[in-house]
This record gives sequence, C-alpha cells and structure tokens, in this order.
Amino acid sequence: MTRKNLKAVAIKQTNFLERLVADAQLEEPLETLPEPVPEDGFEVLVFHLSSERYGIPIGLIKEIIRYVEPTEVPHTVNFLDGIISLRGEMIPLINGRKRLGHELKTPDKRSRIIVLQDGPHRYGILVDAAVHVVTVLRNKIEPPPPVLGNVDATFIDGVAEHKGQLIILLNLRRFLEFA
Amino acid sequence: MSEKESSKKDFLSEAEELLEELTSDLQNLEESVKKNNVRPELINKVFREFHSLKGISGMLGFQTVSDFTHELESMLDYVRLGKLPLQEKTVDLLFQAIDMLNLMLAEIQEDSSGKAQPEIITRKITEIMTASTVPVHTSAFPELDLDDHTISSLTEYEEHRLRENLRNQKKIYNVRLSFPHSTFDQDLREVYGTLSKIGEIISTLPYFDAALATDRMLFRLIYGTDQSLDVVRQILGHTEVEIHDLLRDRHPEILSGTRETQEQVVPADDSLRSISSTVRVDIQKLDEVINVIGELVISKTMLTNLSKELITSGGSASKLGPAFTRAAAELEKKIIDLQHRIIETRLVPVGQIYHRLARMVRKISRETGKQLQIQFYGEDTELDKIMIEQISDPLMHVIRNAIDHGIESGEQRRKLAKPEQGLIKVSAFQRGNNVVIQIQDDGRGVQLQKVQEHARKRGLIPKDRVLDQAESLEIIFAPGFSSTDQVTETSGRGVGLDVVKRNIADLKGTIHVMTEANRGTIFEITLPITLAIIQSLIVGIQGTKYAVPLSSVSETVRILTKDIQTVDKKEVYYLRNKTIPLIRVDHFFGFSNKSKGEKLFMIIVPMAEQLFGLIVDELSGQQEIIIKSMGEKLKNVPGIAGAAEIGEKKPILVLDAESMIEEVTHGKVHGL
Repeated sequence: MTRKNLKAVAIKQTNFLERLVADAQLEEPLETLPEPVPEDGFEVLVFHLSSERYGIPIGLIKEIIRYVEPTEVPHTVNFLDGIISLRGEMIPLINGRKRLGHELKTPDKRSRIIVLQDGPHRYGILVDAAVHVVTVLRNKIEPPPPVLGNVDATFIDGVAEHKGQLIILLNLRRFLEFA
Repeated sequence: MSEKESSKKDFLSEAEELLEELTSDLQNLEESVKKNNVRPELINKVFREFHSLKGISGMLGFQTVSDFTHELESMLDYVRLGKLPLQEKTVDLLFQAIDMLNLMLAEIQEDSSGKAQPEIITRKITEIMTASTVPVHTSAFPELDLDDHTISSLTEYEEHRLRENLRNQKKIYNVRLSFPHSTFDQDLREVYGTLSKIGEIISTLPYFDAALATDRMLFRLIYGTDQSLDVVRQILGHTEVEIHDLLRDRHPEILSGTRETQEQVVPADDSLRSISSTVRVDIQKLDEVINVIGELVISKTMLTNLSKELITSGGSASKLGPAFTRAAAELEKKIIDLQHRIIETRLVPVGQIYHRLARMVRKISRETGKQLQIQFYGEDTELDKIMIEQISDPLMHVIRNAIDHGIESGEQRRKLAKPEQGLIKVSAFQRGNNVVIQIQDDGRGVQLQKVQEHARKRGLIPKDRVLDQAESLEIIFAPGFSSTDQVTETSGRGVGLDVVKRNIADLKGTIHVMTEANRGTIFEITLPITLAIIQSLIVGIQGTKYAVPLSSVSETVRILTKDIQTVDKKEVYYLRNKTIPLIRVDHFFGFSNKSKGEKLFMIIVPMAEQLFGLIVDELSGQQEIIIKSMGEKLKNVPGIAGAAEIGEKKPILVLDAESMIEEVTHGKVHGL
C-alpha cells in the first residue's frame, strides 16, 4: 500500500457525518508526493507513546481513527481498555501505554486509534499521536539496545534511524500476544 | 404444484447446491494434490457431500443418481482409507463425474433421458479401484506402544490415519483425560477444538479405571502432531490430563497440569448435513429490499443538498440544524428497515424440510416393516435458512432413532392394545424468541434400565453406578453411547445422539427428552429464530447500560434492598414461597463500589429447574439487538455473550446470564 492509498483509506472510511463536523485526518498532513520505496526498504507509520517514537509497517494498518471512548469489558487484561465499534464491528482497544508499561495519560484531541488487521482479526491500539509515514531501510535497522527506557525488549523488533531520529519498530506478534 | 413436482424442485435445488460446493472443493483438492499436501478433512468433506447427494436422491427416488453417487462414494471411501492413492487422474475422474451429474440433473428437470450415460464413468471407477496398488496393511503397529486390544478397537479409517501420521513423521501421543460427569460434553469439545489446531485426533476411546474417581468420565485420545509434549500439555491447560509418547524409541514422559485456559473451538465436524451456504430468496422479498435502498438514495440526496446549502449559507448555518437532524433520523429509520428486511430474506418456513422427512419415514417404514404414520404441525413457522439447513440432519437422526428404538414391532403393539400403526408427530411453533420443534412418538419410551446397562457396557459409567431418570436421559447424548453401526442411506455411518446434540448446540439451541414408559417419547429442540437479532432487556448497572437477552428471562421484579436476606452468607430473595439465589452483576464483574439504591431490580433467570435472580439498578426497556462477537481474544469473557449497538455513542455489553449462573454455582467467582 502506498502512503497515498493509506491516506485515501483513512479518509474514505471516515463516517460522512463525522467528517462534516470534524476533520479526522492525521495530525500532520502526509506529504502529497509519494516517493518511490527503495527495494531494501519498507514504509512504517510513526506514532508517539510518551516521548518515544514507534513504528509499525503500514501494510498491517487498516485505518487510523480519532479517539473514541471504549466500552469497558470486565475480567480482561488490564491493558485492554475495552471495545469500540468501528462501523458496527466490535474491536478490542489496546492501550499502547499500558501495554508497554508506560505511565498513563488521559486521551486528548491528538490521541489516535490505529486499527490493525491481523489475519481475520482486528485490533485497535490507542496511541498519543500518529505522525506520518516514513521509509525505513533494512540495513539501517539495529537490534534493540539492551536498555531502552523501561520497555520490555521483547516488544521490540529493532531500532531504525530516520533523519536523525530513532524509531522503535514494534514486535506486533508479541504486542498482540495475550489471552 | 403437485407433491411430486415440488419434491423434484426441492431435490434439484439441493443437489445443485451440493454440486456447486463439490466443484469448489474438487478445485481445492486438485491444487493440494499438485502441491502434495492433501488434508484428510478435505477428502472427508468431499466424501460427505457425495454421501449427502446419495442420501437425498435415494430418498426422493432418483435411483440413477443415487446409484451413480454410491459408486463415487465408494471410491472416495477407498481414498479416505488410503486404499486408493489420490492422483491427478482420480481428481480428474471426479470432475468428469460432476459434469455427468449436472447432465443427469438437467434430464430430471426436463423429464428427458438418454443423453447421460453414467456407466462410462462407473466403468472407469471400477478400473481404477481394481488397479489400485496400495498394499493392504496388517493391523500391527510395532513402532507404537499400544496394546492389541486398543489397536483392534480402532476403525479402519482411524488405523489408516494413524499410519499416515506415522508415515509423515508425526509424534503420536496417548492423551488421558478426565472430566466431571456434569460437563464432560463441553470439556471434551473444548479439548477437541484446542488439539485439532495443532494436530489430528486420530481416535477417541472412553475407558474406565477403578483407581480413579468414579464421578468422572475418562477418555483417552490417540493424537498425532508435530508438537512436543510440552507444547501439547501447555495448550491443554487446565484439563486434568496425562500424556504419553507412544513411539517406542523415545523416552516416555508423563506430564499433568492444571493451568487455566479458555480456548473453545467447534470440533471437527463429522455430520452429513449439507455444507452449502447459498440462500434462495423469494424475489418479492428482494424487491422490498430494493425499495428500501431506493428510499435510502433519496435520503442521501437530501443530505447532499443540505450540505451544499450549508456551504453556501455562510453565517446563517445554524437554522439548518433541525433539517439535518430530521434527515439523519430518516436515514437511520430506513437503514433499520433495510436491516430487518435483509434478515427476513433469511427466514424460510420449516415446512420445507417436512416433505423430506415424510419421504424418509415412508422409506424406513418399508425397510423395517414397521407400519408408521407421520403427522406434521406448524409448517409455516419460520426459521433462519442456515438453521433449516443445519437442523435437517439432526431431525432425521432423531426420527430415525424414534423409529428404531421407540416404536415397537406390530406384534408387540397389538399385545399392548396400541394401534398397529406407530405414530410420529413433528410440530414446530414459536415460543418467545425461539422456535421449538418437537418430535413425539407413541412407542415404548426410553427404557432407563437398558440405557444404564448399555452405558456400563460402553464404559461410560462405572459398573456399580445407578443413574436416576434425568441422568439416564442425559447419557443417551454422551459421545460413545451410540451403538448404531449399520450403514444406511438415511442415518449416517454410526452417527449418534451426541452429534445431534452438538449440532444443535452449534445453533445456540438445546435438546430435551421427556419420556413415559409405554406411552412414548418427546424430543424437544429449542432454537433461536435467527442467530442475528435478539430481543433484549436493557438494564443499568452503576450508570452503565447492558443488554440481557429476553430468552433467558422469565420475569423482572422490583425489590427493596432491605428485603434481601442471607442464607449461609449468600444473598437470596423469597418470592412466592421460593428461595431465589441472587447474583449481583456488579460484584460478579468485580466493580468496587456497591449499588447504594434502596430499590433494585431482580431479573429472574430460570435454569435447570431453578430460578436465579440477577440484581441490577435500573430497567430501561426492551430493544432488538444484534449480538456481535468481540473478536477472538474476548470471546470467552465470563458472563458476557458479546456486544451490541443500541444507537448510543458506545456499544453496550450483552450479558450471558446462564454463564454467570454457571460460574457462580461452581463457586469460582464471588457474587453469591
């Protein structure tokens, strides 16, 4: 999926009425000209959690929506904030901060929910902000450093550098591994 | 339309669906043959589809189709048992057979004959089958630590699967399981689901061990997998389980565990029901849907116009608000209308399967020499199409069962001063949000003594255990109870009431038996009308709304906190001289603060002859809801059946009263 498509999807799938009242686009507009993705690279969506930048390959992302309040589900793991309805489909909402053991924050107008498609299953991840899509070169990915804040290293696939900034590549397998 | 014409039409439409399904399965089969990774389930599915086709064509008297599919079925049976290698030319032949069947159906449709010559293909099948070079195996498994008794109790198919698993270098384990009598059915199903994901359950054998507790059901599975003992043990989790490696050259290990997991998957399906999911819809119903869509387009235009006005109106936009609201409300109404109509297209009258059942009974009457009469009631009762499809097989089995075990021979009936002709009554009617189908016979009733003896013989209960009536009626649904070994066109190859019960449970339905000696037996099947829409009570608990399916509720009572009493530290309420144990939903969910209100509502849920009361703070009316699954990870949350939208900002949770009661009565959760 190119970044242009991603944006198109994000917009197309936003409810018509909702779009009349609120602009549900990404916080910073995506660059309009798609750059060709080099062969040894792939595109990731960069988002914020606490002061860190994380990345997820965009191929797994179905869409990005604004924060909506979830319905809590009792007797579930603590980092599941509940479920949200995405056009009638019930989707579990994982609180990104809680999942990674960061300190909590009340969602604000920058908060976003990244909807992931994992095979037949969908998950929402609550993040502080979704920023933009960048291309990461495979040979620029470093293994996760032994100490990286207080984040469990098993959640991390590697660290990529993009224009002088570090992007932590999330291990989604691990991230979504819970009962 | 004459009865014959209508049966022909039914047959053609069903046969067509089966052929469609077969074509797609054969395509998959062809691909997997090329890639050399044929899954046994796929072969079984094709086998079952031919079997179903044979069944319906035989039942309705289309002899040539029945004979032809019999040949195909036999060939697939050979393939299934590994007696005939599955090669591209075999699949090719199956494709040719499908073409031939299509031609035969066309001839039946046109009442013509002569073009279709199935003999050509039948001849090729015979050729292939006689030329098959796969050696016939002797039954010993020297490489396995299995006693001869066990090996001899494996069916031919199971033996073949065991051999295949060995050939593919799988590990073979002996898994011993023990479940309480009350829940073994469900527990076994869960284990099936879990294990089937990472391997193949080759055989399930009930067994008896005097050293172990007598109040439990014991099973052993022979299981083939790539996974290590540790992995299997871990995935099985909480079940009391012992696993041995059966391969002799490995060091045997014994493991047992008690960890909690909540995996639940529908077990591998071995029924003969049709697998097609095509819905045939009356064109009128579709026209209605189109009409609603037309109206939706109008609403859309209204909204578009309004938004244009909004853009051009500049500062005076606020007066457009009400118009917008109206348009949105209109749109919503129409969408709901559309939803209802689409659900209606799924509903079909139960009468559709009555014809088939009548013919089957006539046929069994001829075969068994028992004189039978079948009466039908409530043929206009509507049920979801998918349910009709899936309920026809269980119904067939229940009726077959009633004839085989219920109705006495003519001679016996004369002695008992009963009419010589046995009577089977099938009635369908709506009860609340459910459809009830009753199958009543006037035979000898379930013979409780015989059931017990049989259960003992099959090793389902210890020798000295005496069952009461309810338990006896329960055990006839136990896996392994069935003694049907005969192969007939109507009932399956050894399919018992356990499968019937499982099929019904898959449809969120239940089956009950009532019986009286010499008067007869009633099997009562209760099904939801559709799996889609459910009438619910909307309740409030600490300011949050929840839905309770009305099908679980018998009444609601307003109560005062001070009238709640405690018995043995558990809260109860006395209503009309009955003690009703209470479950406070907020406690159940572990909410910290307690409802403070003086007035509460008690929702009465009948379960297993007893009443339970769910305590909630508010009642806010009834509403039709569509229960949505909350996804893989949240499908087994205790006390919650799913979520639904009721037109508010957030979805609400749907309570599963029955599972709450089960949890609480097993003492797992505080709440009582």
